[in-house]
Amino acid sequence: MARAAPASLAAARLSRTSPWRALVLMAVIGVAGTLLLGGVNLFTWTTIWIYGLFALSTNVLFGWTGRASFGQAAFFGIGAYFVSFSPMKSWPAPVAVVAAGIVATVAALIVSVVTRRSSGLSFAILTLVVGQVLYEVVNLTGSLGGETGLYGITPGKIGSLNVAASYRSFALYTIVVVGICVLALSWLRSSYLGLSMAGVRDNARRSGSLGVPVTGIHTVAFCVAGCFAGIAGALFAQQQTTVSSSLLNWSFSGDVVVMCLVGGMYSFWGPALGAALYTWLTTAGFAGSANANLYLGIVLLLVVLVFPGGIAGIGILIRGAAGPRIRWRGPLARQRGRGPA
Amino acid sequence: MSNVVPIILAALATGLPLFLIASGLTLIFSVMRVLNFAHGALFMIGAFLVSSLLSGRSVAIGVFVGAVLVCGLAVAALSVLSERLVFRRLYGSPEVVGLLASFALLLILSGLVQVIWGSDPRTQAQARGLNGVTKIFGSEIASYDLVLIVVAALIGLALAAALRWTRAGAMVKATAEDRVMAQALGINVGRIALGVFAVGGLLAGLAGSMLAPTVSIDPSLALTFIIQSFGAIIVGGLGSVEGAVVGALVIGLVDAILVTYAPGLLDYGVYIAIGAVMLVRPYGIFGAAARRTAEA
Repeated sequence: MARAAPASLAAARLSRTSPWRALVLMAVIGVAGTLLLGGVNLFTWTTIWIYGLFALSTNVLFGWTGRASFGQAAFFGIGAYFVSFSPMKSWPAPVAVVAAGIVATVAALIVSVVTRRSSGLSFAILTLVVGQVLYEVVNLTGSLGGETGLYGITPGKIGSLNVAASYRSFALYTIVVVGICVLALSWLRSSYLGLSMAGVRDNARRSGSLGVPVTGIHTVAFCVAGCFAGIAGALFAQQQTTVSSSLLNWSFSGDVVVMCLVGGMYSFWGPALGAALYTWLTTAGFAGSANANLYLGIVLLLVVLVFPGGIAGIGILIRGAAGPRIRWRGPLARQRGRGPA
Repeated sequence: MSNVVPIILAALATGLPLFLIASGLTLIFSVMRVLNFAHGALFMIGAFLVSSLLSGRSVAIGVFVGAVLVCGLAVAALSVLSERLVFRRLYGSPEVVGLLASFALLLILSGLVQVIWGSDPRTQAQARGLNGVTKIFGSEIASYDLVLIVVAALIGLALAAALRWTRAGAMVKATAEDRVMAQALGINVGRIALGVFAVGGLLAGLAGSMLAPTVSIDPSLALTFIIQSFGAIIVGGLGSVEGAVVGALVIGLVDAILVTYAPGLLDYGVYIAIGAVMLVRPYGIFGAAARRTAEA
C-alpha cells in the first residue's frame, strides 16, 4: 500500500499539461497541417482531429478513472445522428455540435444509472450491451435510415460563413472546435475533479474513505466522456455528410479502446497519438487494406503484455532511467498478496 | 399451442450449438478469469477451415465428419498456442487486462482470416443425405438441425460427465474455486489452464465447422457469435457450465419465440434475454452473488 502514494504522484507528474502550452501546440500543428496538406490527405487530417477528440474523451474513463468501457461508440453515434436530423441541419454549425454534446451527456447520465456501480469486467460488458442495444434500435428504426443510414447532412454555417465551402475551411472549423474541447479537458485534468478521478483509479476504496464520492466520480467521468464523444460524433457527421448505424457498433467502441491503449492511456496526449496512428493505418498507411486489424492487434497485444505506456510512454522511457517505469495502475494493476481475484 | 413443438425445436437448434461455444468461454473464464473475445474468432476459423478443406463442396457424411474433427483439433491447437503465448503471462492480472489482451487476439485472428481468405462471404454445402427435413411430433425440422441438436447434446453431456466424474474434472473445478489452494495441493495449475484452453478451442472449432453449412462464412461471424455467447454466459452466470447450457437455451428460446411472433424484433433476442434475467438475477441464473464481494 505504501507504494501507491508515489505511484499517484508520478501519475500527476507524468500527465501534467499546461493548457497554454497545449493551446500553442495545437494551434501550430493544426494550422501547419491544414496549410500543407490538400485533397484527400486534408480530409484524413480532419478525421484524425475528430478521432483524436473521441479517443481523448474515452480516455477520461479509461486512463483517468480506470474504467474500461466498450460502449463509447454509442455516444459518438448519438452526436452524429443528432446533427443529422432535419431541424438541426439548419442550425449554425457550432450550435448543433454543442447541442449534440448536451444530448450525449444526458444519454450518458441515463446510462450511468445502470453502469455507475459496476466495476471492472461487468462495467465493460454492461457498456457493451447498452451500446449494442442502441445499435440495434437505430438499425431497426426506419426513420433513422436503418443500416444504410442518413445522407445529405449539411454542416451548416456560422453567420454567413459556409464552413463546408472547402476541405480547408472545414478543417479549420474542426480544429477550433476540437481545440476548445481539448483545452477544457486539459483544464479538467489538472482540476480537483481530475485529480479525484486519478485517486479513484489508483485506489477506489482509499479515495472513498478520504471523502471522495466514488460513485459520483464514476458518473461524472462517464458524462464527460459521453459529452465529448457526442461532440466528436457531431463533427464526424458534418464532415462525412452521412451517418450509418455502423458508427454505433461495438467494434467501433473497441477501436477507440485500441486508440487509447496504443497511444498511451496514462498520458494526456497519448490517445490522440493513437487516434492518428489508427486513422493512418485504416486509411492511408496500408491503402485501406484489411491488414489494419492485424497490425493494430499486434501493437495492442504488445502494449498489453509488455508496455502499458503505449506510444506516449516511449518518450518517457527514452528520457531516462530516472523516470518511473510505467505500470498498469488502478483496477488494471496486479494485486499482490491477495490470492486469486 | 400448435406452435409449441416447432418453437422448442428451433430453440434447441439455436441454443445447443451456441452452448458449445459458450461452454468453452465459461470454462476458460472460471479457471483463468479471462473473458475471451478471441473465442469468437476461433469459432469463425473453424468455419473457414472446413469450407476451405472441402472447398465448399457437398461430400459424403463420413468425409464431412472427418473434416469437422480435423478442424476442431486444429482450432484447439490454436487455442493452446494463445494460452502459451498470451494468457499465461497474465496470471493474477485483473480481469480487464485479460479482456484487453483477448481483444487484441481477436483483432489479430480476424486480420489473419482476412489476409488468408479475403473478406468475401463463402458458403459450405451440406453433406450428402443431410439436406432433407424430418418430422417430429407432427412438425418439420431440417435434418441437419436435428443432427446438430443430437451431437451438441452428446458433447454437452460428455463435458458435464467429465467435469463431474473424472479426476481431471475435479482438478479443473478445484482450480476454478481457488487457484492458490489448488496449487498448494499439488495440482499443476498451468497444465489445467492449458487443458481448459484446449477443450474450449476444440468445442469452438467443432461448433464453427459444424455450423458452417448453415451460415454465411465471412469475417463478421466472430463478432456475431461472440456477442451471442457472451449473452449466454451472462444470462447463465459467469463461470458456470450449467449456466452456459441454460443461458444458451434461454437465448435460443427467446430467438425462436421472436421468429414466430415478432420477427421484427429478432435482432434484440440476446438483449431481451440479458435484460430480463439481469432484472431478476443480476449475477445470472447460476451466478453466485458472492462474486460481488470478491470483485468489490
